[in-house]
Amino acid sequence: MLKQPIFLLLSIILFALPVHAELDTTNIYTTVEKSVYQIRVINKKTGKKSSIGSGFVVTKDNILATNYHVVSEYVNDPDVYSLEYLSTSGEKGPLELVDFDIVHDLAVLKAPKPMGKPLKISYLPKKGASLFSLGNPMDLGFTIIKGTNNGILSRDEDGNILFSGNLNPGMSGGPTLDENGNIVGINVATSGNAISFLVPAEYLSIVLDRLKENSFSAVNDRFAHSSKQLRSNAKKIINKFLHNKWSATRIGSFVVPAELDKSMRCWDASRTPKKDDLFRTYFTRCSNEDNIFLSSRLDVGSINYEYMWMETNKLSPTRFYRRYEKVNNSIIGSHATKRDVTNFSCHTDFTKIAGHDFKTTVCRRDYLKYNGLSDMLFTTAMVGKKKEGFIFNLDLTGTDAKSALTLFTRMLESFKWQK
Amino acid sequence: MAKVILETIQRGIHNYHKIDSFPVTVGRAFDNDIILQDVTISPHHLVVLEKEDGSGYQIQNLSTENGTSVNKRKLDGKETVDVSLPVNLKISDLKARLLSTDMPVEETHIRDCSGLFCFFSSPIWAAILLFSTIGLFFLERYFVTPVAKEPLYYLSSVLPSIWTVLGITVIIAGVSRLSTHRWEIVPAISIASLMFLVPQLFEYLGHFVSYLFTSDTLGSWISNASKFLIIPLLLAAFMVKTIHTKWLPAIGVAIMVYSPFLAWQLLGVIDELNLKSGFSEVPAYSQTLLPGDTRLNASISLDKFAKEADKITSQQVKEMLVEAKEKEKSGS
Repeated sequence: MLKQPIFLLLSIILFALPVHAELDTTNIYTTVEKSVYQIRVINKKTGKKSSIGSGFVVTKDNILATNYHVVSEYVNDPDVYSLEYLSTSGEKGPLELVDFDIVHDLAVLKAPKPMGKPLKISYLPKKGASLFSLGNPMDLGFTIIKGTNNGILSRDEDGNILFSGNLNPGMSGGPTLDENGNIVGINVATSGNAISFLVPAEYLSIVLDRLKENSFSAVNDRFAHSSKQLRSNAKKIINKFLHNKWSATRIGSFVVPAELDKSMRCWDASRTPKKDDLFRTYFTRCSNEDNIFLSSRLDVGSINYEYMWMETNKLSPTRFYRRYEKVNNSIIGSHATKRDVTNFSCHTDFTKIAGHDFKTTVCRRDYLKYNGLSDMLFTTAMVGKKKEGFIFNLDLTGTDAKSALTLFTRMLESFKWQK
Repeated sequence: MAKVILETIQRGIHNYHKIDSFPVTVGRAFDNDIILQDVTISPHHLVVLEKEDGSGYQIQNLSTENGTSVNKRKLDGKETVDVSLPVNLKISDLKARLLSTDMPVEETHIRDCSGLFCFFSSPIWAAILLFSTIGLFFLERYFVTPVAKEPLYYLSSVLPSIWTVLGITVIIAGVSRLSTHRWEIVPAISIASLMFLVPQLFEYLGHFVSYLFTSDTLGSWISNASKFLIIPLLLAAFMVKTIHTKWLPAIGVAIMVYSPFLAWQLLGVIDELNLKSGFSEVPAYSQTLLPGDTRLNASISLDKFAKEADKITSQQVKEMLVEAKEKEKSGS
């Protein structure tokens, strides 16, 4: 008896919604159509596009906004590439990069002529409100997609908006509008199945306000500009971590920090114990599951740490330590090559942590182009116990070396031995 | 009583032909005074003559085919030359010497069983070395297997190494048989065992030293030294002490025999150096962990460590950045 009304109600919504939505989407599309463009990165040598995205006119009639990752090829190699726009009516023309926010994946471009009516930035409506996303997916032509606002992600450090709608490659940088046709977010990423992400438009406002002050003049040293943003972002995040109250978790005989922040996720990765095991391993891994896009082959901003406890009452110390030594081998998950970074410089010594001896190592490498930006790898292994081992690894990519070192020592200082 | 001796060396075997009266003919034909069976020697190859006044000897070449050399000079046609003893000859490709009977011979080699090398030839020591080596194979396999296994598993995984030791024993003994006509099986067992035992012990030492100093530099030197030096030195010692070769040629032969392995080891070291000098995404730090925890560095406070680490890594990274900038400048 109860099922029917729900079904009925559902069918009413299913039938009613498309009619209502169609009106909205057609209206919105026709109003903003002339303010949306395809942004293309052109190889100067061949004259062909090597990557595409979307963009829109904002704040001034010759100013366009898009994603940083759409124009990153041009930012990294301005001698090889140039920027171009394509309008809904098929018109093409050159673009100039004015400013960007590498942390929030935003870029601002300037056109030599008026490009249409600037779209207005507005606040994010309530959760569940309809949003309309525009762009040029897979170079198939300009489209509009309806989806639902699911609010700002609290776990995400960047605070992106979860948009339940189907964004596709090529729509990056396109605007997402509310029912009044105002911008609330910029299309940035998707994980498929209608799980898509938008950069909140307020971050774009910050860049635009900065530009208004210097009358939209272009940044000179792009790498210095990026480095500054990345470093201050890394410092801000670590500082936030340091001021948070950390949750604690027990692994083996140690009580250690678990989530340092709501943006961190911890997972257990222990091997399922078997009856005839000669030793036991407990493993917890935490990650911010977040990356800042620098170029198509380089991301930074990851923060990962892991704890491993090993114990035995069946293995002799020599046999146990052979195994223990084998897992004492930390690497960093990054695609950086010798074009991007220096080699690692490491320093190892023995330290006292929670009353026990640890062999502790700090490794650092710096980015060649991004001044003052470092990858840091920390690792420490308990020594002096014949039947127990404990390893802690922490790595941060594209960070500030000193802040990362402070975080590492603070984490170690919070270790507690509890038998 | 013979006055002169013709020494010929054929297939490593020395033959001594006593010469009582002159002239003496040498060749492959059966009507010669000294018959040498080798297809490169002419039927009548040369003749050894005594000077008419008895003041010395002469050699005359008869061979029109492969000829005769006296002290590395090839004789022309039927040339006759005066020679003073001893003289080196080359009859075709055959090495020979004309010697006087009163020439002193080399000192007798005394079978050296004094000092460190005595145990080479002692069957008890050889057995101890062999069984320690096999024991170490088992132990090492046991150490690196952190799961419960049947004894047969260890036997099957260690057997190939045992065969290798025995195979090397046979090769060394065989070489000794060919060169001295003695098998020398006991020293061969000792040497073959040591070839496996010593590098493994050096590996342990290197590992211990790496932990002791909290740095892999000295430790890797020790394990590299064992890779390059120990086996050729053992081979050379074997030749000197049991086959009675002189040290220099022994080392030469040992390096030659070991050269294929040496080349292989060298390749490994070059790769390692290349990795160190080039770019590596893997951080190189001291990863050794030992249950004994024997070390020179006492544990310091976290604060002190952080300060030192920051100072050292900042400095090194700064240098690398300067270097990279210079490289880029010279490149562009």
